Amino acid sequence: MNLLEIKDLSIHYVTKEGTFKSVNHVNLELEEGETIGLVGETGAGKTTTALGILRLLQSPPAKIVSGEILFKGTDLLKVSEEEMQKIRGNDIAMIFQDPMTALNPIMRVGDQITEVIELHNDCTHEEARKRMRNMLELVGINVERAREFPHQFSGGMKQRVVIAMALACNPHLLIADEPTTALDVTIQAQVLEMMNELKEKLGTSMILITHDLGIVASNCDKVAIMYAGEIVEYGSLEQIFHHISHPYTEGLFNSIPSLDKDVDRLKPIKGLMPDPSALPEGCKFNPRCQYCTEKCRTTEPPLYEIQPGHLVRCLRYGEEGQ
Amino acid sequence: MSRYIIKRLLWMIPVILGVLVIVFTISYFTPGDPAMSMLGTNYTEESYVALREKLGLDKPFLVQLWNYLWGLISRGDLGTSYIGSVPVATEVVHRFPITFKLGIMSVIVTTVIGVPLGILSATKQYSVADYTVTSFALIIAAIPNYVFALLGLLLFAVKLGWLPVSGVDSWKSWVMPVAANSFGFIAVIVRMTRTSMLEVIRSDYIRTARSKGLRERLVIWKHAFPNALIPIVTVIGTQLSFIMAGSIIVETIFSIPGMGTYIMTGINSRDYPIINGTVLLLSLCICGMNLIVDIAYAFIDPRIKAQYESGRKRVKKAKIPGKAVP
Amino acid sequence: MIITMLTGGGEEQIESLENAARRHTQAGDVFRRLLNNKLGMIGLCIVIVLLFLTIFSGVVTKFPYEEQDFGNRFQFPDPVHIMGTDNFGRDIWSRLVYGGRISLLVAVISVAISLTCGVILGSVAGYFGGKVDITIMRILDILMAIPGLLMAIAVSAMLGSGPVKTAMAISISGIPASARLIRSTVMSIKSNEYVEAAVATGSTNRRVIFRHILPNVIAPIIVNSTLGIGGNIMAISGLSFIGLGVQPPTPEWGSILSSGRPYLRDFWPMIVFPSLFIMLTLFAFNLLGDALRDALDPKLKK
Repeated sequence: MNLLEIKDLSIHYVTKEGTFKSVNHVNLELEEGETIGLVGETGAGKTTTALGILRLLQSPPAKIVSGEILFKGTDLLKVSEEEMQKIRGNDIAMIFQDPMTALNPIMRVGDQITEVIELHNDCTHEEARKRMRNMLELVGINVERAREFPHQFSGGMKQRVVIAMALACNPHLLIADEPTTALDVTIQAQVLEMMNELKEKLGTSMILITHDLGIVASNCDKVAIMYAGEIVEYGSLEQIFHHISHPYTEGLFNSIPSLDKDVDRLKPIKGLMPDPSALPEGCKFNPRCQYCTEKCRTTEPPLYEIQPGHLVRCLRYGEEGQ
Repeated sequence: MSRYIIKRLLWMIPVILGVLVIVFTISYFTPGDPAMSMLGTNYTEESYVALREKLGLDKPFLVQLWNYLWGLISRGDLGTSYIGSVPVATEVVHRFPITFKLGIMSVIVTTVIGVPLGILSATKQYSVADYTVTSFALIIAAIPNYVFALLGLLLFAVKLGWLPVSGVDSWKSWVMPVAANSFGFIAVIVRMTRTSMLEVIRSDYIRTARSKGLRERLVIWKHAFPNALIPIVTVIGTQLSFIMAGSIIVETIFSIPGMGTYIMTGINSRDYPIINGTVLLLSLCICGMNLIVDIAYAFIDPRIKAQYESGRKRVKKAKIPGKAVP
Repeated sequence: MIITMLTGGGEEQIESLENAARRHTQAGDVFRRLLNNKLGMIGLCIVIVLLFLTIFSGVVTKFPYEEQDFGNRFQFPDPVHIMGTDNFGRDIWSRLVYGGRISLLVAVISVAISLTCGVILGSVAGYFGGKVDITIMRILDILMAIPGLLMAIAVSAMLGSGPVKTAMAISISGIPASARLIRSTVMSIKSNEYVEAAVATGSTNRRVIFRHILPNVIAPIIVNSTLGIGGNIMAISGLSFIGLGVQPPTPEWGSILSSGRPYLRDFWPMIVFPSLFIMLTLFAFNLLGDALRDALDPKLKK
């Protein structure tokens, strides 16, 4: 059985100015111990999907329109808020994008970690503090610093605290939302390496949200490329990186400067992500697609399985398949 | 931290001296002759001159100011009231606790009612409760204490006969004055709490707290509320200053023998020592309150504490042009 | 030569960008947001009605406000005297309408005085910083240590009664707050990149103040003065209520209320009607001020 199975998840933001279709019919599967990379531009619906799994979306305006999120077989969208609270931080933990603002500024970092341990474990305060100190050591922070406040930590160190907090209860699933975007490049590598080590050690599955394909290549087993709230390509790391199939994925790869190939100019994807309150007809990528045909403007492409486990949402493969 | 407190206490000296000079100047230039009014029908040319000399009113402005200052510094003498010849300090000892009691009770009432309503309104934004609380705040913000006091008297004392019209004899007589003093400020506190909580609730660390699996009640009270406290504490601090001044009106309406009625006596009979002494004391009170509020900040927010402790750095930083810290 | 051309061009470009941004966000959007704010429009309507009443006082009242009629004292409201008559037999409605004229006028004058002083002190302190700033702020600290109403009471006693003198007394207590507001706004605007760019391209102090900073300070000034008018009406009536400020026989809401106090037990119209006028006016200015603030700074609302 898969650890996590997302089926047909759609999340809309309903406001006075209109309905923003942020996540549309997303399907995802994640096995125990696996890491899946969720890749896409800003506004593609990655973070909304992640927050949807934890049911942390501000509602209103956010509304989960349809779908199921099966975690160990139970639909998270159906459990009570109390049960959800037992799952958050304990079974599923999350690392947020900006470590600078993710920690409570007026609480000692040690207390913030201890809090989550005490919450989900039947243990004394002393035991919880002991585990907190272990966690700090694990992420490479001097135990002495447990008494300090977040403002006394650098960005990279804060992210370590956040990671310690997220892993404190040995969650089965870790959702990391661009965990390194806000950090310096040198720190990025350190933090990622540490996350990988801990993940291996604790056997945690992970959803890694990023827009950096380099990070995906070195950390993920599976990749899902998101565009305008939809998954446009899905497959194993191998399949995505060696059989680039969707025009958008192609565009993403062409936007990366490469040392191996001798290219004079990068080929960025033309245009901008469509406004989620007015998505185009047909294929959502059609206004920016270099292979766009008349049919793309009218027909919504389904996901075609071009190889076992490799799914692509593009009409070009439909014709081939037929 | 203690260095910061000492620095602030030292800074209070010039502020109080400044207040003294301002108040003394104002009362010096206030028209009316205390000697004349003290003599009344017993007025004769000689007794008038003699009285003016006795009170020191014949001396030039600066000499009078100096005498007052010296009396205050050397003997802690706030002067003696012209009428009745009672030392201001003696009178104040009786009156100050009453005003202070009124002020503290009002602050407690506003805080106890205003803060929870503000939190309720913020956590249930756009709900019926939120709309009710915000409309309530809008309406009571438009009721000055004297209007509230008179309408309240009309209803509860005259029509219903539940409460006495004046005095401080029983707990019942405190109800209306405290309510009149607190009412408008409940609106201020509700709105400040609501705004501040709304801002904090949307911040990332509250999302982090929720992602830990904390119950919503804990998220609000343990994580959000302490972070929203700074502006709330600031408002409560300024409220005391307003209440001290507002008590002049409220005490007059309810004939409460506090500082407010004392000031009015001083102003109506041109009894300068009363005016000077009371304003000075109230200002001292407000300076003290501001200091307490600033110290409270340090206990609420470790970042502010760090800022206080590195006091020097902060001044330097503010001097860099264009990088001013508001 | 080349340098001046370059800098001149640079500054113009900065200005046109900034102006375009301002025109777009301020004029049209602000007005539209204001119109969409229902509570704000209610406030505006009440203010307009009040202004109408006070400007056309002669038309909307049947009796002169000072006409005494001892045969008709303490009349309860009836079709002739819609709000009754007071202890001298004067028409309460007339006195309240004319009293509104005094209250509003004094409030506007006092807000104008404290804002003018506040803008001058605040912008000088905020713009120049350093010793000028420290000196001004320290003096304001001293003024702030005296409770506002207390200051107004003392100054009012010194100056004596009358509308203009009352306005002056009230305005003094408003200066520190508005100076602080302007100062912090100026300081935050000054650290904006486009102002730094203007300074870097060689704009004079005067030019930077008038072209870049003052236009941006206008929003807080408008909001502050709208809310200030309400607050000052409260203070004026308060002063008059305790026998300072505007005094009888000049009609003023606070003094009318005060003169009704002895008759609290038996004659309610002298308490209730002035109270209604005061509350309604404060309510209207609060609503309007809030709406203006939301319209001028949409970020604050969200």
